Amino acid sequence: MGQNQNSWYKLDNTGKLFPSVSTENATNVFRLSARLFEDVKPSALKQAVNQALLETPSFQVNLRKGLFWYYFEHNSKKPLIREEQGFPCRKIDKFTDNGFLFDITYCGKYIHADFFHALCDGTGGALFLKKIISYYVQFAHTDIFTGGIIPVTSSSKNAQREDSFIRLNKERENVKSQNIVKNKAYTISAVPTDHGEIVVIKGISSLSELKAAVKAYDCTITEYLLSVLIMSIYFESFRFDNVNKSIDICVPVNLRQFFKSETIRNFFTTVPVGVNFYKNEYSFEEVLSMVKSQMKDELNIDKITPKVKFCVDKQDNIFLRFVPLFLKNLSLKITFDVGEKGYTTSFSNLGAFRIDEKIEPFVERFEFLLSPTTGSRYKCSACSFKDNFVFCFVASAENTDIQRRFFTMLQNDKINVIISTNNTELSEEDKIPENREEYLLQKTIKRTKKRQMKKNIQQEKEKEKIQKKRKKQAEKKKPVNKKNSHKQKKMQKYKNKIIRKNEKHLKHEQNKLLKRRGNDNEIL
Amino acid sequence: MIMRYCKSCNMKIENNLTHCPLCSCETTVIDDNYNNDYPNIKISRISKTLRNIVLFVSIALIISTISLNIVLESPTPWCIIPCTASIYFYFSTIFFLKKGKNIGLFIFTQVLLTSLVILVIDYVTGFSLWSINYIIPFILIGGCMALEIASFINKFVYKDYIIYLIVIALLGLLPVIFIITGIATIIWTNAVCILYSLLTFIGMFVFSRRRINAEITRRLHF
Repeated sequence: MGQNQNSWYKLDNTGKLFPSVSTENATNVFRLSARLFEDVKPSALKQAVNQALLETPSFQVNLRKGLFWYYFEHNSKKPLIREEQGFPCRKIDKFTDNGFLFDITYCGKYIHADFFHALCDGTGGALFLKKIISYYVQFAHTDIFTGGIIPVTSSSKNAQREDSFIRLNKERENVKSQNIVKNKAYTISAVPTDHGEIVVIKGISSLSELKAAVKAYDCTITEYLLSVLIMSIYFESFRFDNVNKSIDICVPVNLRQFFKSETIRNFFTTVPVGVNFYKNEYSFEEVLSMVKSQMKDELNIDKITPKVKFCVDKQDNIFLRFVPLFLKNLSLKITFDVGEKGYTTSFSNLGAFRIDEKIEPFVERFEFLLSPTTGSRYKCSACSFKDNFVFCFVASAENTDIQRRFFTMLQNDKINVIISTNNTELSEEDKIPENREEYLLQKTIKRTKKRQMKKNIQQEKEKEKIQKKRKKQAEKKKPVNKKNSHKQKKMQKYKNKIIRKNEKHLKHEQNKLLKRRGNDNEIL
Repeated sequence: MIMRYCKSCNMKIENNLTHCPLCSCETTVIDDNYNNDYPNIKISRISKTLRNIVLFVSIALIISTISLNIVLESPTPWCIIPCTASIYFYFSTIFFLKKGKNIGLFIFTQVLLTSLVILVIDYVTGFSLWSINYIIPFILIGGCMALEIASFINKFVYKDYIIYLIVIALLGLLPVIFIITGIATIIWTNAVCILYSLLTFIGMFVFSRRRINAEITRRLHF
């Protein structure tokens, strides 16, 4: 994908699903954010994003509708870089960011990057964010990085935009495709938030402490966290409903570990891990052993390929290809909603972030968030950087019992957790009124504020008027030299002319500059 | 960096919150350094009142005219005219209220809706064919012309208009059917329409062959 305006390419196999099924409440947007040790400078960030985008042209696209499929088309605009306003993981459509399918925002020490899942998966997004961070640090600290910009190594552009699903399908022709139909899983009973707010609760802990705890259980970090999650769902929700459904957790698996690929587009599949507590009471150790055996069973290339092949075969089916897009959207939405009922929640572990040694001291931690859907209101994700391990709960529900149980269970295993949330306590003015008294109170507050504003403005105007008057009076009081000869007057006129000319020229230049800056500000 | 501590959860909290986000108990201050990494969010509902008013008014119009027509026992179903007009009114206002409107799409929908309204009026008033003979060909020509002018004014958005221009020009060839089947009794207007859309096609292919090829392959890829 070059700079050619006519260039375009197809969506990858999994990416094809997301534009059809995404709504305001199930956005399929994930967020990767980096927390630095200092406040973010927007101008350097803008420079860094533009540089990173030049090197990853497969992100310089917008989504378009064809008659049969969606497709990506070259986007000649520049991405907007704004201060964060609103909730994480909001829907990215063609109006959010000049048509780009990612949205880069900053807030205090954070650089956030929201990606629409049609564009890339977590690994691809992480590569892009790492690129932005390393360029940002270099542009923001030109006094330290004096020896020119260190290029961030990346694979070739063709390797980046490869649809690896198709290659996997071709290389394993002998494997038969197989569709796995899942039973309905248990859904966590929760009270949804009023206005679709997303509640993020993060637990920040030490990776070494976590590793020590995991070592005692003799399992991987993902297996340990999965079993803690299952136990906390059981304790805080399942116990009270007690239905014959299993707690199934959807675990995304990066296919790059099984199948060599350097793509930054989607290349993952999901694996179910679940325990049925109906009429059984398992201890934590039993759940852990079940999760371990299931993960071992599922994380097998022979078991994963038939599933992937099924999706690719569906896409290649000649009859399905010629179904108009709106019918495809409808059927995909239905199948997606049905498929979603097969899982209670999902947990994605992105693993450890590694960046250049020279950049490392500027970054405190990385974070990873998934977006909740109407089917599963809780989503969990985790990633680590250096010794900081961050586990995130994202919920579109008000209940926080599961989160509380989860983090206390971690703390019982001697893993210290620091809680961080996006819940801010609103002032009286910003709250949505729930009864008439609150509404009236808010109204009066707003009115008094408005009046004060008006008063301030009036006072300022009056001050200006008085100052002008004084100036005029001072000018009048100046003694006029009556002895000016004719020649002197002429000289004065000539001087004035030159000064005026210079002023005009200066104004013109300033206007030019202002126009340029104005353009920059627009992009900013 | 830690600001607060929740006794009941036994957990440290990074943000400046008086209540624990996990258990809603009151927190105690440990340290004065705190992180305020998140913006205060004002929740504002997207205002749909105007849209709803328009919807309500058009539904009220439709129902009242239908009932009037029935009550008055008039021989012609004249209520169809205000009904289609209110549908037209509703869709046009919805389009105007939409953010980031595409002028290509706007012209395309206007061409379709106005021709529909005029066809209905003609049908109800006795179907003397004045719509097909005179008005619809000129609406199609007008739509084509408007898109061409728009793309002349702003060349960068031509890419977004191409598909609508192609579709309207294709619609402009519909009068061929009117003439062959004999629906159209006056031929010169329809002939002008056909000629104009043919010229549009030729012009498009002469001036931007590559773009049109690319656009068609993109939109119709399977």
